[in-house]
Amino acid sequence: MKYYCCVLLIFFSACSYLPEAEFILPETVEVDYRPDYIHFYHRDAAQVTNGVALVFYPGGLVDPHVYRDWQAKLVSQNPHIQVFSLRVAANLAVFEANKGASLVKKFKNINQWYVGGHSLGGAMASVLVDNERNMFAGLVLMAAYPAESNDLSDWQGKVLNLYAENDGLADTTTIKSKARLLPPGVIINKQSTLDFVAGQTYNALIFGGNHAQFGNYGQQNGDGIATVSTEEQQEVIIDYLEKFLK
Amino acid sequence: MKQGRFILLILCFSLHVSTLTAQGLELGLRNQYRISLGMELAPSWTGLALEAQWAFPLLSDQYELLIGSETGISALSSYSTLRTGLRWKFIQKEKSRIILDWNLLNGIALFRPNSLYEFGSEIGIGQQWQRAGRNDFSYGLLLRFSTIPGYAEISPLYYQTMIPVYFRWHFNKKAPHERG
Repeated sequence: MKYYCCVLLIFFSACSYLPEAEFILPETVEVDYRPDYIHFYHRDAAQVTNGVALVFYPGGLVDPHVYRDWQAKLVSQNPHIQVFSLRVAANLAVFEANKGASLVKKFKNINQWYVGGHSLGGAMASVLVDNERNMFAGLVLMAAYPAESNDLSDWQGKVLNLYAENDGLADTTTIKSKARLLPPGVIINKQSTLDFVAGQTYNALIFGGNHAQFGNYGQQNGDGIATVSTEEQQEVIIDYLEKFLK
Repeated sequence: MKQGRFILLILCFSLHVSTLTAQGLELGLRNQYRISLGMELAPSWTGLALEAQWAFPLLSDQYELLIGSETGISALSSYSTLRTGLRWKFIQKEKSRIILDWNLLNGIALFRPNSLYEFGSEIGIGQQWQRAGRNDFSYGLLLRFSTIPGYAEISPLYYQTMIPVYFRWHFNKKAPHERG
């Protein structure tokens, strides 16, 4: 009984992280704020024929706008990429794990769909991939891993598994121990020039990074201290995503 | 920490109010449905809320002053709010009443590093059942508008309309002749 009371208290009094830094939208990027998602797309997106979209689940108790800096920058540098940052009830993706599927059905002009998420959002993206095994070409995990009930080891899509050296919440040991739930993996680094192929996991450690710098919301309780700046960590994220989302 | 202090303040306020001459304490659970966020219609389930309020007789048997607090989840965040309102029991029968509640809301949307001020209003209709020897029970439907002005710096979608469905238990004080 005490346990349920504690869960209820946390549930009702939980505070979500808001974006910390002031946001400057790149000139070439358009943003469509909708009740269920924030859509970032390039001004020239209509002229692109091989469009790719990333549906992104926010971390637990994190406002979806905290990821807008790297999402807008990614889109500004890659007109063929669109990002749909999901807005979920109570900022807890666990309540709406299948929400991303509705976007795939709605936007028919996108060639290829990817899904991803940060922390709890990554776990929920894995739930969606497990439920809809043919819907997405790839899965992007940021400081995240699938739950034991979502074994994706035989999934035929490709996985980009990004994790940070100083992450105090999803530490490297935990991430590595959950690798068995993902397709066979290889370790890559910034210099890697390989093609990302289906049925493979690409594990990339971000040196000096931490959990909170996958977004822009300051220091998170329980997180490690980053030895690189938020901008540096997110440059690495963008670099990997540009290669992966093709 | 500011949020914690605010919640503590709400609890202290609530306990203090309970010692006054309220007609009774009402505890409720709300199931909330989003109707719109910003100007766009977007119906969906958005969360739950817990509420506690005290009803004070006002002028006649027909009206009550409502003071209470509520904590729950809306389309944008978790929140804690104080409520002040009026109740009109416009149809009273032997075992049931049809009630119209109107509340003003003043509170905070729970964010880090700083929570944001949230205010709004709601109006709704319900039915209260009087049960012999047991606590009264009521249920109803509200239409609620709320806004978080500070969130406008982040998104143009900073105001919302919801339909909360509530269930309340009424712990009414007994009249002197009922106390035996």
